[in-house]
Amino acid sequence: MELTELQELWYQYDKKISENTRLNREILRLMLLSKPQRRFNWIKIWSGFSIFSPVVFIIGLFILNVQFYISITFYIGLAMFLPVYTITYIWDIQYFKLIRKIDFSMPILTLRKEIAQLEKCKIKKTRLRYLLMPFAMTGFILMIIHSFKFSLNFISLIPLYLMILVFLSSMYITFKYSIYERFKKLNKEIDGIEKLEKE
Amino acid sequence: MTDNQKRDQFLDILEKNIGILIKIAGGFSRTQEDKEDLINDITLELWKSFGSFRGESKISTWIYRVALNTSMNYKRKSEKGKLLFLDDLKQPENLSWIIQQEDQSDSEILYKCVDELNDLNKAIILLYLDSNSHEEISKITGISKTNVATRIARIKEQIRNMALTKI
Repeated sequence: MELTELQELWYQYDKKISENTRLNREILRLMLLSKPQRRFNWIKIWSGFSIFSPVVFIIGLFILNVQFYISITFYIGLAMFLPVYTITYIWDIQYFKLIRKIDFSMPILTLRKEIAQLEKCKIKKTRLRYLLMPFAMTGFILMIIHSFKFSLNFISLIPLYLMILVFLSSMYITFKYSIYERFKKLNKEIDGIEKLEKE
Repeated sequence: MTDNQKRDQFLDILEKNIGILIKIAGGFSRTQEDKEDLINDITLELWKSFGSFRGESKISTWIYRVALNTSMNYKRKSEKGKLLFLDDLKQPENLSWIIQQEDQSDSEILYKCVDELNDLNKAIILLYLDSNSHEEISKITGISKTNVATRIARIKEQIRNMALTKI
């Protein structure tokens, strides 16, 4: 089939659509009134939530009545926890800013690029979080423990083993399922888009 | 402008351009249910961005952009491992606000021809078939005018080859 034939078919189809299509404005009006509120965008909501995470974190500390013991261990813990928390928070803000930039009325290529950048940012954020999380967790534990006693008793160390196990399995799954592959693919996609824009 | 006036203005625009939504959604969906769901998605995306539409581009350019971007993301939604932008918890809805007597067989042949093209080429050819100029296609897609012309020439060839094997 030649494109001209396709064009002819298209004209006929277009004509049929305009002749045979009517809108029920009342139903559509009701849909516009009710649906947008129900159409939550979970990614936006979640990233918005992470912006307020410090407040939630502080409220959580008050609710759980977490006691800090100001000692050398506390400061060591703070020195480990605070930088990690700040870095991950900055990345959360970056991600939130990128999400807010997504606009469906952008040219197709621009939107594709924004989406690819967003995915890239998400992957970086996840990777960073996994790499730094052990330091943050250790730091937090050091901040709340009264004195540092080390026991080699297997039973008392079970919670710690479980935490490490959960963390390692989660890290393994995230990294194994092609986080690097996706990253490479995204970079390639962005390069391709940039090339197309310049051509 | 009151909310009601704004809604009426939007409905007028939609009424005049509903064909764009039907044609684009048809090109990016495989089943009738998907198509209806996609038209609903596009309509709601248009409504969401209507407030920020400043009239810097033609209304049709804005509609094409939103329709194509939504359609491309709608496809992403069902692909594993991609970002979800639209609410993935919603149920497919009945498109009761469009009254249409459409003969499916006509559009089936049309869409069969463009179905194997990649998303971007599909968008370009749908815009081309809808009589948009190269300049307009360039504004909607973000690709340069020269590149649009080159791509159209390549797509023509691709369609010819596909037709030989399929139709």
